[in-house]
Amino acid sequence: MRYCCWVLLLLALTVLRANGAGADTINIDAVEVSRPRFEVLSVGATVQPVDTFLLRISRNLSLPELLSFAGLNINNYGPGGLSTVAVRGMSASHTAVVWDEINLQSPMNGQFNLSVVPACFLDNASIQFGGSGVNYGSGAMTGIVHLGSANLFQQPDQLWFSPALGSFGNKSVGMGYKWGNDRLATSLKVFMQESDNDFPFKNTADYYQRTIRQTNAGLKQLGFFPQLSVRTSDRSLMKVSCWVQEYDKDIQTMMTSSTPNLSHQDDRNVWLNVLWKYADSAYVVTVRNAYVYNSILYTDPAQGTTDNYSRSYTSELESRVGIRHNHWLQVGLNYTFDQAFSGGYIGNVKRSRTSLFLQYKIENIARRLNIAVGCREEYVSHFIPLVYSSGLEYRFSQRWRVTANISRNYRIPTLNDLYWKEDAFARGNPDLQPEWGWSGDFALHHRQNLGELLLEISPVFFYNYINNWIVWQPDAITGKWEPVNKSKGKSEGVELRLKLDYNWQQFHWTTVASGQYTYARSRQSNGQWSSYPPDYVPVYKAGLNQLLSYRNVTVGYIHNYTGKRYSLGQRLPSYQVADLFCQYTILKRQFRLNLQFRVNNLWNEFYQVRQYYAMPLRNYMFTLMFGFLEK
Amino acid sequence: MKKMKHLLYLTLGLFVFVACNDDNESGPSGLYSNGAFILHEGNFLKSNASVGFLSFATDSFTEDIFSTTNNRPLGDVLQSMAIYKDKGYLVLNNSNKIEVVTISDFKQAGVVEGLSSPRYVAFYQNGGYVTQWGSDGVHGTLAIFDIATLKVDTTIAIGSGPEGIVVINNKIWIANGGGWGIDSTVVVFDPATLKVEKRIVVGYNPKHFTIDREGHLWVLCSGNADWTDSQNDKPSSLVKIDVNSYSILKSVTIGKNAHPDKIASNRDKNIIYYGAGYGFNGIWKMSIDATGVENSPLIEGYFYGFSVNSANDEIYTFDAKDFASKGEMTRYSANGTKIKSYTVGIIPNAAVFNK
Repeated sequence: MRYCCWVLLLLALTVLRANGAGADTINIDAVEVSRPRFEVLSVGATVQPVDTFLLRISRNLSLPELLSFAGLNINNYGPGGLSTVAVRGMSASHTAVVWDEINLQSPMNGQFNLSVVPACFLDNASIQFGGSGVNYGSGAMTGIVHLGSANLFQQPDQLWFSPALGSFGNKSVGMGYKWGNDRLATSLKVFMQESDNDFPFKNTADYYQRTIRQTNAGLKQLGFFPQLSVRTSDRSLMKVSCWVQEYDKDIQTMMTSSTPNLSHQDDRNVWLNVLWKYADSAYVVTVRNAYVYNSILYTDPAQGTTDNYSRSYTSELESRVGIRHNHWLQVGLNYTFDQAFSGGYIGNVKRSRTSLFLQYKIENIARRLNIAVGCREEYVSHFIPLVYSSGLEYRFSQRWRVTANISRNYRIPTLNDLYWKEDAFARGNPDLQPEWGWSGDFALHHRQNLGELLLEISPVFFYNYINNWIVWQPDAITGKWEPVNKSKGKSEGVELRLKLDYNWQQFHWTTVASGQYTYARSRQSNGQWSSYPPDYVPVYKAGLNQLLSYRNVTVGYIHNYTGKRYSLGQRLPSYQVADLFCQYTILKRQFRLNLQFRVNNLWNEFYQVRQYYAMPLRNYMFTLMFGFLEK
Repeated sequence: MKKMKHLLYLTLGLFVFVACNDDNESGPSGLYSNGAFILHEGNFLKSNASVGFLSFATDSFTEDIFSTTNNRPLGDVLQSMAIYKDKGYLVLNNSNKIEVVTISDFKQAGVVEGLSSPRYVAFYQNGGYVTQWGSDGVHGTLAIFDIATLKVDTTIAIGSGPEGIVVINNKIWIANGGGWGIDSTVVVFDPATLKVEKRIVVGYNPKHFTIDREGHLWVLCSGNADWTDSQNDKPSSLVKIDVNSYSILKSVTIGKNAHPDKIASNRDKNIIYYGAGYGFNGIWKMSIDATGVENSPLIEGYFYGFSVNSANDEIYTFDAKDFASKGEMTRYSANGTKIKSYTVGIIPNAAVFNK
């Protein structure tokens, strides 16, 4: 009750302030409707956005392929593979995935499979590293993948169609349109994909060392993404977005198996987001109502078909008010209701979460300093200890600046953790406590113009510590697996990113080189820190992206190196994979035609991202993109 | 007459090959002689199964001898191993195959492919007989492969979750352990006619066999755990069968809520050991003449598996620890006194002894 009063008071204060501050008329177009709040209010976070050009030319890729293509450190498991992003040495459940500010992580297992997101449905994507996103709540402990769609009123009317043909029976079509006027805008994007994914490879795990074709790795995908924006006044608009998709995939046969896997998984996703936004020069209020449905229909000969699905309803009120010329206060209230159905649960499981979050930012102090502090309090049958963050950005000169942030974060147990019904092998633990931890990073940024050459270099040092890490392990007496708050985890390391941009007349060359060293350890049951990093966390990772454009021709080369990793203490070999693409663009008034040819795994490297799951050798993809843009 | 009887049993014993236990002592000498192969299941879907070797001569443990020797992974979930003639047969449950190695040096010698969730293997004449759960874990089969070609010739429906398998008196005996369901039968299979000759109803979920000094077959019935209501549990038991008349001679109840998984006998075959399995405390012993189980276990602890070295009656217990890091093997004397512990591989489940 006390907290409710505080919430109402704070929201009322921001509204009152807004009434006073709203003297300047502002057109809602000037407000980035889709701009994530971390861009507006966070300070000191390390964020790697996907270049919009890369996004535009990658319409037929999946999100993991796009992120990998853009040089972001992500494991790409190939078509149909489960793909999650684990940032800075921690697990995938410590990285939130949000789409237009709505968290997509399943309340059942705390993860989200990035493979199911077609790149063409996105207008922007970025990864926020570290725990500075406390405003996003549970799960945003070591990073956030931000996915976003653009403000339709800021996009030209357009029509596009993008078919692609690739190796191993890969066929895909993306298409879409956007139409609108001053008061109303609509768009629809559709993506279809089918792949046999039956690539040949030499099976080094096989007695005969035969070259065989991969079995049971095909997929089918069909997704729709309609959007509607209505200007409700000069200062406000409403936007409705809906993502509906079916993703039907076979579960790839392991290299060690003498018979094809017969398992199959059908993912169905619905994401509906209704947003209303009001903005003037000093006040922005946003109301979001979202519905997220995730269904996994898993079929296995041993277990038959198991149907697991979850529903989440989110209502969020966010108010941002300008105080003086360079102060911003944000107050938000979030209510989320999760409901899950699974044969593994005792009945239907429900959970309500209510959160209050605050953010305060001061910009341009002495024209050099930005600072921000934020906190979030969540109530889930009891109050979760307050989490908070603070960040700063200090500009020494035009060329040099530093950013830093420190935060305390948390993650509540998943519904599987809490409510898994006791069976022969496992049971949930309703007494679990939330995980909590610290995260911090410090970065130095240098940016220099050398005539036609622009140089950017950023070394980043990071540290993460997680307490009460929820780990599933067998009970000492019963032998049954159950989650316990036993472990601790820590990771520290350094990331280095170098970008060179060279522009001369119609010639454009961009090089992005990145490297990462991560030292990550977890504490074992005997109290000792592990000798090895968590499974599949590479100690070293590096990437090199080259993009060369001359007139209408663009050539790109992407090279990624993944260093030694471990799985259950067993060292896995490093690998490096390179992709090459060439694109020719024909522009004729409003008509655009892109012809793109990609060579994936250019050097024909035999590698495994997950141990004993083969990956395709050199393969090809040809894409056409017809577009019609109204000027 | 008594001597004649013993001679008869001894002769009978020569024709018995029990899969994946300590009874096979006929392996040849070589790099991996005079020791024990330690089987590590590894984690489901991780393909990190392995075999270690404990040398009795040096008391040293060598990890992962298959991958080291053959430069490739063994497979996913090593369920069991059997030695027949000069070969070792490694049953990989989730890889649906049996890897064959030369036992003296563990070099790869072939593979039996196309199986369906195989569990244990036994041999008779030129055939290998494999129990397998099948893809659904209910409709179990017996697969028969030719030892020379390693090709599966025949697959025959046998029951639910067939598990332990032995060869006695030119017949194949199979325990239908239930798999993902419940079964209560032991099957006597005639390899000459390729037909099931007899189904003997024993206790709930019969898992494994051992033979006593009188030539009788003991089957450990694990019972069944109902995890939603333990009141509905089915009891575990030890059942003694006459291998000639197929009649049940004795049935000893272990407990309604106790579900041991493994059974073995000592060198003189007058003591039966049972234990290990999810939630079952201890390794217990019972005289073959006893009418009931003892009040306390011989060895306290929760083990994933155990084996008995019939050369000296030492008991080897296997603790899978957290099922993710290295496990522990402990040797005990026949009276349950701890001798030594060894750190072994991930999820150890049994030892196969090789003279």
